[in-house]
Amino acid sequence: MPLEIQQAMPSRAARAAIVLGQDLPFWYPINAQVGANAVGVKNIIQVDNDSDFEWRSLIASSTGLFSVLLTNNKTKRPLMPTPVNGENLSGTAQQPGFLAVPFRLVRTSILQAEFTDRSGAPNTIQFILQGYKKFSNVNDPVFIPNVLSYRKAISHVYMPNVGELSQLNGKMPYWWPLFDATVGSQQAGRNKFTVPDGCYWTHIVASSSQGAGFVLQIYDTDRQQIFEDSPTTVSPNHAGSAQRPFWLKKVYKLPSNGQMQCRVINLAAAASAIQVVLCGVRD
Amino acid sequence: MSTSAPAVSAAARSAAVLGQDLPFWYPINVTLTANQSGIAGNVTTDNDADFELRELIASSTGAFQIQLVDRFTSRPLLPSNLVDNTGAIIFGVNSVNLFGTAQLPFILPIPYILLRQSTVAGSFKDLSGAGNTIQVILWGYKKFGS
Repeated sequence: MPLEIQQAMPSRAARAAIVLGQDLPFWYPINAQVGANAVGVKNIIQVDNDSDFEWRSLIASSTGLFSVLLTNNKTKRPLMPTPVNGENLSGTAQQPGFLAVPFRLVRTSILQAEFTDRSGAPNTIQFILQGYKKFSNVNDPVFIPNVLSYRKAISHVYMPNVGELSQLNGKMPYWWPLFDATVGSQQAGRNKFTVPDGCYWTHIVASSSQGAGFVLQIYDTDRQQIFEDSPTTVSPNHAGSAQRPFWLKKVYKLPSNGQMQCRVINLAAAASAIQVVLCGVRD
Repeated sequence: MSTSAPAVSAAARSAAVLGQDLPFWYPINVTLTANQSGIAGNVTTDNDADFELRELIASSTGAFQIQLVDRFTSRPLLPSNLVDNTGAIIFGVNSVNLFGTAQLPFILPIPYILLRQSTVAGSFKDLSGAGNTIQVILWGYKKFGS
């Protein structure tokens, strides 16, 4: 659909036809009641049979912290190798957790969520896939990126450019937890994962259970490039949250069959549960 | 005195002003008692212009859930027959998951057109356990060019 309705619409009938064919903003909620510390509580949402769904963002509310593992049951492919914390995945209506590029779920697709409570108390969760019902099967003539609500008209300054993003269109959203462990006070932790072919990194998010945060170093073994000279970049300067991710200015193609490694150092005077997530898309 | 710019008549300027898109707020106001459910609140777009919906905004004195339907197309904006993992029926979408504020509105990256005299129907449920005064805003532009 064009950004704006054409200015010269001759009749109400013609306008009505456009209205009926336009993309419909839509919210697909997955609701769950998760017991204290319960693991892998499943629920699903099925895309309606009247149209495909262009998934654009994740929005959630809950009564406590949680993590979730998403799987597209249509393709039998998970969207993350291990569960991702809710705050690293989903935002609010004010600041949604955007996918790098919209992803089209075909009609009747089922998306499964497996929730794990991190609050230690019963947790009522509403987890929403937000986007548009696409009543037209014709591909959009122009790529329409998301709008960062806190950046508004100057969103493009803070995201990879529209041309780069549009080249990722149609790829599967993916989240790579680069680090996910509890680290003792002032201690360091390391992790790595092997990247399959066709993975693209667009933004980075992180969380820690202690306010003092952590420092972070990332290393691309394939290119033998380290992203920081020393482990002094504190987490708020390195990664955002799902609501306000740290967007790369250029899409970074992750090493094919290489490794991404990271080291974190907990700055808190107590043990801290730290999760660092690279976000993007993959083939 | 420079005369390089062509003079535009007051009439032409006036026509341009009258034909431009008008920023417009369509409110739905409802008041719920504690835990009240299924209370309707509607808004119908004026007959003078189609409306290009761009943002969703709300304020309330407590949390609520909502169902929204575009009556012209008879299309709801969320699926029906929602249940959670225990089989409990879910009324609608939580307010915090649908609406922002004027400072941080929920922005539709692709605007949605409502024809003139279209009705958007809401059905509300209080989650706060107390009286709840709610104002939902459909914000966008009246399109006088259409």
